Amino acid sequence: MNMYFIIAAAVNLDPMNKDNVLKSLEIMWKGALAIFLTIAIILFVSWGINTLCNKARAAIDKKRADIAAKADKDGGNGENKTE
Amino acid sequence: MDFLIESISQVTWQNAVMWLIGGLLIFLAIKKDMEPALLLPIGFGAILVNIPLSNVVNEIAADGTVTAGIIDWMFEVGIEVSEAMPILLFIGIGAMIDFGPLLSNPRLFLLGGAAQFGIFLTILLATMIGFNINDASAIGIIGAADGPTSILVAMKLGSQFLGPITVVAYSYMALVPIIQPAVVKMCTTKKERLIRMDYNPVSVSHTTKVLFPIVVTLIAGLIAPKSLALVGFLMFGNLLRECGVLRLLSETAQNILANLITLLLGITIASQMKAENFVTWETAIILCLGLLAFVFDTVAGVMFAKFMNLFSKKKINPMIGAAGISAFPMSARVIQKMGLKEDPSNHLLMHAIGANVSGQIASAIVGGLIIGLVLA
Repeated sequence: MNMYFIIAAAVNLDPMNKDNVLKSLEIMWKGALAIFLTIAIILFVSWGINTLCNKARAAIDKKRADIAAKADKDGGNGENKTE
Repeated sequence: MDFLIESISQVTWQNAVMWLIGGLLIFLAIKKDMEPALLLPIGFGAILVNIPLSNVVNEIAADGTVTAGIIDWMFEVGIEVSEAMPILLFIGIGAMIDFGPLLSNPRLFLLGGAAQFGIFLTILLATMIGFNINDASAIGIIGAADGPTSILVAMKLGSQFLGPITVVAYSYMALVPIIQPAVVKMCTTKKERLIRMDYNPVSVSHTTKVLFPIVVTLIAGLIAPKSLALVGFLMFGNLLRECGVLRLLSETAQNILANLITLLLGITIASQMKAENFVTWETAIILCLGLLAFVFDTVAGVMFAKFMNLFSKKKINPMIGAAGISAFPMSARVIQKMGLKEDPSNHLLMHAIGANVSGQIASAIVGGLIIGLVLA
C-alpha cells in the first residue's frame, strides 16, 4: 500500500478517489448494457431487412421463371399468334 | 553571435527525449512498416514542435502577446474547436468498409460488441490508479483500437493527455500483430483454434446494403446520440459506397479525403507532443494501461466467442472473437494467419472480417456512450 502512495505521489496523481471508482463502475455496467442492446437491435433489424429483401427477390425470380415457363409452354403448343 | 546559439541554449533533456521518440516513431514507420501513414507524420511533428523557439507552435512574447504557429493553429481549428479531422476521416473509413461479410453472418455482430469490454475494465483500473474519471475514460478508449475515436473522446472529455493517448493508440494498433497472437494463444486451446467454420454466405441484397447505414445511424443515434458524430459519418461514407450512383465521391472519400486527413492529422497531433506535456510518468502509465486495454479487449472477444459456442450448433472458432476489436483490417488478417498456421486449409478471413467491421461500428458507439455517460 505504501508503494502505491509513493507511485501516486511520484506521478502527480491523486490517490484513489472512491467517487471516481464508483462512477467508472456505473459507466461499465451502463456502457456494457447499452452497447449490447444497440448491437442486438442492429443485428435483428439488419437480419430482418435482409431476410425480407431475399424473400421478395426470390418471389420476383419465381414469378419471372413462371412467366418464362408459361411462354415456353405456349410457344411449344404452337399458339404463337404472330403469323 | 548570441543569436546563433539562442535556440541551442534552450534545449532541455526533455526536448532531446522527444527527438528520440520522434526518431523511433519514424524508424518504426519506415523500417517496420508499422502504421507508417500516421507514425511518420507524428514522429516528424514530435521533432518539429520540440525545437526551442520554433514558430510552428504558438509563441508567447514577453508582453504576453501570442503569435500563432501553424501546428497549434491546425490543432485548434481541425481538432480542438470542431473535431473536424477525426470525424471527416470516418467518411473515408466508412467508404472503405464492405459490411457484406457481416450482414451475411449477423451473429458476428455480437463479437464486435464483446470486444469493447476491455475499455470499461481499463477505465476502472485507471480510476483505481488515481486518474480522474475524464482522463480515465479517455485512456480506456485506447482499447477501441481506433485512432479517430480516441482523439474525439479525449477531446470531448477535455483530457490533458490527448498527445500520449493518441500516440499510444496508434502505436498499439500497429502492434496488433504482436499483441494479439500471444493473448489469443494464452486463452484458447489447440483444439479450439482448429475449429473450422464453413463460409456459406447468405446472399445480401443491394437494398439491404443501402438500408444498413441508415438503420445503424437511426438505432445508434436513438440509443447513444453522442455517438452520432462518429457513427453518422462512418455510415455516410458507407452509404456513398453502397448507393451505387456516387462512384467518384466514394473513391474520393476512400483515397483522397482519407489520405489528406491522415496526413494532416498526424502532424497536427504532434502539437500535443511538446516535451513538457509528454515526458512525464503519466505517459508511461498510459502506455501500460493502453496495452492492458488491448489485452482485455482481445480476451473479452475470445471468451465471448467461447460463450456463444455453448449455445450454438455451428461452432465459432474463438480466435474470431479477437478480431472484434476495431483495428481494421489488421486484426482480421492476424486471425487469418493464425488460423492458417494451425491448419493450412482453415480459412477464417471472411468471418474475421465480419467481426472486425462489427468492431468498427461498436467502437464508435462505445466512444459516444462513454462521452454521454461521463458528461451526464
